[in-house]
Amino acid sequence: MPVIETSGLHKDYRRWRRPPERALNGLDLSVDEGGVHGFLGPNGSGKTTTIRALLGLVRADAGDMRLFGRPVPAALPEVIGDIGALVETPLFFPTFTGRRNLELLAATAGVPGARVDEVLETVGLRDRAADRVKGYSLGMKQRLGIAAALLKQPRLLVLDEPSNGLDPAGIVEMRELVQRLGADGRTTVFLSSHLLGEVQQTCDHVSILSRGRLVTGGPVRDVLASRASGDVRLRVEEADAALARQHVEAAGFRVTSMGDAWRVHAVADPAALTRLLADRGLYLSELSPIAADLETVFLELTREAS
Amino acid sequence: MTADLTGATLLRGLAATGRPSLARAELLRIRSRRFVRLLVALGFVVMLGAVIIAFVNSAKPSPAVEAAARATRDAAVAECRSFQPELTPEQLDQACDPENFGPLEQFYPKPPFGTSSVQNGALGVAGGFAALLFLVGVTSGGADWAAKTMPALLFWEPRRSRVMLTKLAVVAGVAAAVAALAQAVWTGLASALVSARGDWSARPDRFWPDLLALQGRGVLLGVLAACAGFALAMLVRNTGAALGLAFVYLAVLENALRGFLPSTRPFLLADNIGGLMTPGGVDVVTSKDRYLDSGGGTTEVIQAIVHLSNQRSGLTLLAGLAIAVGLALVTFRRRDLT
Repeated sequence: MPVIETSGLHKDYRRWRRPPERALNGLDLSVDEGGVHGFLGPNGSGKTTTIRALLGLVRADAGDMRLFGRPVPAALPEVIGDIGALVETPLFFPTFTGRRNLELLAATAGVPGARVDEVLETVGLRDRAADRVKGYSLGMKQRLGIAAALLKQPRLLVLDEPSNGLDPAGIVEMRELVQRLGADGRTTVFLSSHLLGEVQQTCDHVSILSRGRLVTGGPVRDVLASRASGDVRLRVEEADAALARQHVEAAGFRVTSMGDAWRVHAVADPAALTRLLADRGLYLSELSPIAADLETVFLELTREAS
Repeated sequence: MTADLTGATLLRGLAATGRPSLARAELLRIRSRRFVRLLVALGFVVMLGAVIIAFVNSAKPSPAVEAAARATRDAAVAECRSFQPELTPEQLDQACDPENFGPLEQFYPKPPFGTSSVQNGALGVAGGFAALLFLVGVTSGGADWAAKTMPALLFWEPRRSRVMLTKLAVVAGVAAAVAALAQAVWTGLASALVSARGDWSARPDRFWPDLLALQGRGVLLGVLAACAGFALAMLVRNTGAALGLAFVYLAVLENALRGFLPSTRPFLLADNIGGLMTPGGVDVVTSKDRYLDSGGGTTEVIQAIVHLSNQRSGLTLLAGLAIAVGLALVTFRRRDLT
């Protein structure tokens, strides 16, 4: 059963003396249970609006939304206990300590006090828990936000740009934390991010959004494969390089330089390339497929959509 | 520091119970806010300061002081009689009646702290704490918007009506507790002042019931003020804007209405606060005509007066609060939190 489903979701933001701004334009989205699901899109594509609509913070103009199969926002009170969320920069009372901010949230939901220490430990903030939040760095606030989201031991963890403001070490920690949560077999992590490399390394599934619509979605491997070019990286001994290139080009392949190697475009059958050179006494040092990365796919898809 | 530690211990204790309670969390949040603690402490410090000033400037009259005061008044009476030789003895008795010179206390070097001062003080405590509690209400409503923590709270309790009404109930409860405590402290301090620097024997028959009723209305005023402040802050989502709006309404709009549309007075806040707090209520002029007199000036003739009883004013204020809360609730439920 999908943990998140939307169909035909529309949202316009009305603005004073200006035309309304369309944030969602018939979004259809489905996120299956388990693992880490990346949610990608350029700025203004509707990612945060989708998350806010799912969590009842903004009202959709039209369309249906379901969480754990229950219609939201009507059934949100029934399912909210299973959802942890961090939307953009987490906000806390600046003059309270990190621990007190979490304790207030724990008291709201009846989460046992011991859980506060557990989540502080999980995000590595236990030593700074007694400090006021106004003294925290952005990265620490981000980790406190994750801690707050984890308090309820959620089955669905919604993270909107969780790596914002984190230093490289923090980004790695965050990636490991997200992967750990996604792999625990209980939690589905719904991760919105601009860091495409991060998403590619972290997520099993991905949905890409542009102008309030879904442009593609599915397992990351399938999404990348669907846009694969068939290009390969080819390298031979330096002494044979010029001759080898002549033969490859003569066989009808397009070749471009790629550092100390070449990129051979649109190779349907890499074995044919091997045979071609071997027949002429030229032997390969390297022949590897060039996979499309998420960044390339993302840019292509969002460019096409706009 | 002690309060802080106590609050933290309580908080951990409550969190450890594992029972969900938005009200408890809200109560602890208000308790933990230093600004709220500062405001409440300020109210009690000012009250204590007033008691010290009253203690220094009052004294229980000794027989010697009483005799000296009587002699001073008699001298004033004699002086009055000697300066008006043209009057007949009957006219002199009337013009220079000792009663005309006011009560004997006026001739004491320091007046005693009388039981009427206890009631006046209770009125002052009610007004002062109502103003402070209005600020507490405004800042409680505005804090979530200033810190932008409202969305985070709604991840935990998405029923917005429940969130707002729970917060309102907690603000009302805190206001009631603070206002009642202030009146209790005042009663204790003022009673000690009367015993030390005044006289209980002159108190009216219904002194204690009247005082209690006044203090009860004072507590109600504090609760209404805090709730109105909270509702206003929830409506405009900003502490400063809420305070500004309240000032403009009370200082400008109500004064303008009172001057140009006196028929609105039975519905104005300030008049109804007066009606609620004044023992027996107040009369407000709702219609008057102005005539040119023969000397070129104007004469005002009152055409209509409305009596605002304590009960009527209380109900009017409650109705106004209900409208403000209703508006805040409707906008909060419909608002996109972006």
